Amino acid sequence: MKEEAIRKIVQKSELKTSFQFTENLIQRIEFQKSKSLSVSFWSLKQIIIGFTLFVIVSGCLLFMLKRFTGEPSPVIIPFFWALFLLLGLNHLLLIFKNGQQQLGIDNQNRR
Amino acid sequence: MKVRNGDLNAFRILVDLYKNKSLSLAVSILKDKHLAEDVLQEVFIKVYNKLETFKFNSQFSTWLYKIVVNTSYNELKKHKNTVSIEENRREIEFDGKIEQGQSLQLEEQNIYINKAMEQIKPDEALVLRLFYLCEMNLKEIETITSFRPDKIRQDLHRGRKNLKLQLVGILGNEIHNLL
Repeated sequence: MKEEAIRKIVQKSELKTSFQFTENLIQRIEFQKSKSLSVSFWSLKQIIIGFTLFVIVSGCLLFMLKRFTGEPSPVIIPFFWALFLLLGLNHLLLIFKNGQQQLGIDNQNRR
Repeated sequence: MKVRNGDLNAFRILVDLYKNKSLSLAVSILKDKHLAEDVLQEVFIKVYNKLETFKFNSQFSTWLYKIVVNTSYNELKKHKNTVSIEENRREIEFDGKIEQGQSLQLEEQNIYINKAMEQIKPDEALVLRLFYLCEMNLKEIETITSFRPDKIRQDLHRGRKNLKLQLVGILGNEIHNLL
């Protein structure tokens, strides 16, 4: 069989995807995009930086307050403030993320 | 450029342009159209996510087909460990040899040729399709498949021979109906 004949035959072997192929693909990409827009948690590095900054700022504020009021306050207080604040923010993020996941599941079910 | 910026409508055009040839390549390796379609969905998602990293100094089709080929071979390895694709494969409707003098419609021709393609080795079918269907040159096939040049030439030669043998087995003297 000649080269040109083989070429013609192989060209006729092209397969076609199913009717819904592109539509399904675009829907999957859209779903993936909406998922990636949802909340992502802070990394350990970001948490450490945030905690340190908050401790320093609140320590300074406490020091200023002590100068104004004249009353002594324990040094450990800024650490507790920072810890509670971060735990609170983490909790809020968790609630928001759960809400987003539920929304994603609903969207998928609707499709 | 629109596609790189994440424009889904532009991406849709790109998918429509390459999906059939990509599917044919995946089927050459996997020998199962449904599995190949699943693989192709993953491939296009991967491509969409990696478009930003695509360097326009190489051809898009070469880049895409390389991903198709690599993903298909990975899938083939996975399936070899679980279910045999040979057992799982969907048979293309085929009822033996065709009768003398019967002319073949395009759709029928596609079925018979694919039946023959199914019978030849994945590497041979892949190289044949890359060369004749996707019109890639040997250098591009080397980039896509990572096969050595002498293996590509050998697969092309054997692929042509085996395809002809299979077609003769299926169509007999009516093989000229394909041309």
